[in-house]
Amino acid sequence: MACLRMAVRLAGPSRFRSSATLTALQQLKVQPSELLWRCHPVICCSTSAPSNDITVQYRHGRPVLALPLPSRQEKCLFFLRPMLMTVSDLIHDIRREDSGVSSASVFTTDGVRVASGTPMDTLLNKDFHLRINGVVYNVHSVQREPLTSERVSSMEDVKNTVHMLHTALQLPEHHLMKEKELQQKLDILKQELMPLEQMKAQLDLRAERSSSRALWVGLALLSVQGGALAWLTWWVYSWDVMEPVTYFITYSTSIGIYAYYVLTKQDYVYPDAKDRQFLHYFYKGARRQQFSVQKYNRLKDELSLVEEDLRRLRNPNQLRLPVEQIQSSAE
Amino acid sequence: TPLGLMRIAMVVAPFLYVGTLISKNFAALLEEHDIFVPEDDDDDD
Repeated sequence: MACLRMAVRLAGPSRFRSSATLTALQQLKVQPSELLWRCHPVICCSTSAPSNDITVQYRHGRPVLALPLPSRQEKCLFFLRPMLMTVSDLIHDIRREDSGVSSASVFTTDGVRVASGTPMDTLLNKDFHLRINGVVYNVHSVQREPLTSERVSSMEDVKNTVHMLHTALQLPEHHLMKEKELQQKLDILKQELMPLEQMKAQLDLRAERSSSRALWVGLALLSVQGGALAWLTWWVYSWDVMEPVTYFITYSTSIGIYAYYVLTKQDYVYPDAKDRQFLHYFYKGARRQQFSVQKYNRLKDELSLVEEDLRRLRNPNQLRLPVEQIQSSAE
Repeated sequence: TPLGLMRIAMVVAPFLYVGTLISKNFAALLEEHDIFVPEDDDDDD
């Protein structure tokens, strides 16, 4: 062990990149040294042990960097996680392993320094130089074949399966929780709405009575007109006198209907006109009683949304079916 | 509607009568002020 150490020390701090001087140390069997934390004892032969050429090996599917540490001239295996680690992580790990490392940095083969934020994935695609305490190590990385589209799609399948598993395990509780939440919201809304509903019912009644009364009054007026004209025609004057009168009355009625349209932009048809009057009376009453129609409408809308959600949820909860999607409701 | 016809009749008939009253007074008014006096040509066949 001591002779090995000496030999390695001789070769270690050299600045040469070539391994020509170190052929004597080939085929060395390195004795298992003391266990270093996170380092595994190097048991296998390595032809490149004292040279400055390092290859990224793959063990158990993970890339491994076998770095000789400067202080004790021991190799340490760094298991890399290409997707998660960056260059700064690697340098940090190297520093943590060996406090004798004063400087560690990564360069490309052209001698350009690589930033610490670079993900290991991109770094491992090509060879690079690792410089520790002034010693430059040539790291060869095996070119991984790029992910074929087949592999990529199989990744998609895996992702899908994981997703489905997650939903299968989590979904029922989530549904029940949601249902409880919605129930609570429903109760709150209903409570808020209750006094408003009462007031609205009252206003409804009043407005309905008023508009109904308006209709009957219309009927009465019609009959008044009929009676007056009939009397005038048969008992006072004759039809020859009355005819133009009736014609002009009819004509003024049509003027009135047109004026109604001009004012309200609505056809003068009985149902619509009645509804219009009803709304008019309703809003008058609401204003008198300070009944906020907007608040009422807003609460009603929320209530309908919550009820819709509950309905969507309840069905699958009892039948264990997937929840139906929200259909955009046309307002 | 229950007794709908009755209600209509109850509204129409009185107001019809009211109409005739109005027209009677109206004609009397006209005649009084001589605004319009019809020629009483009864029995024109």
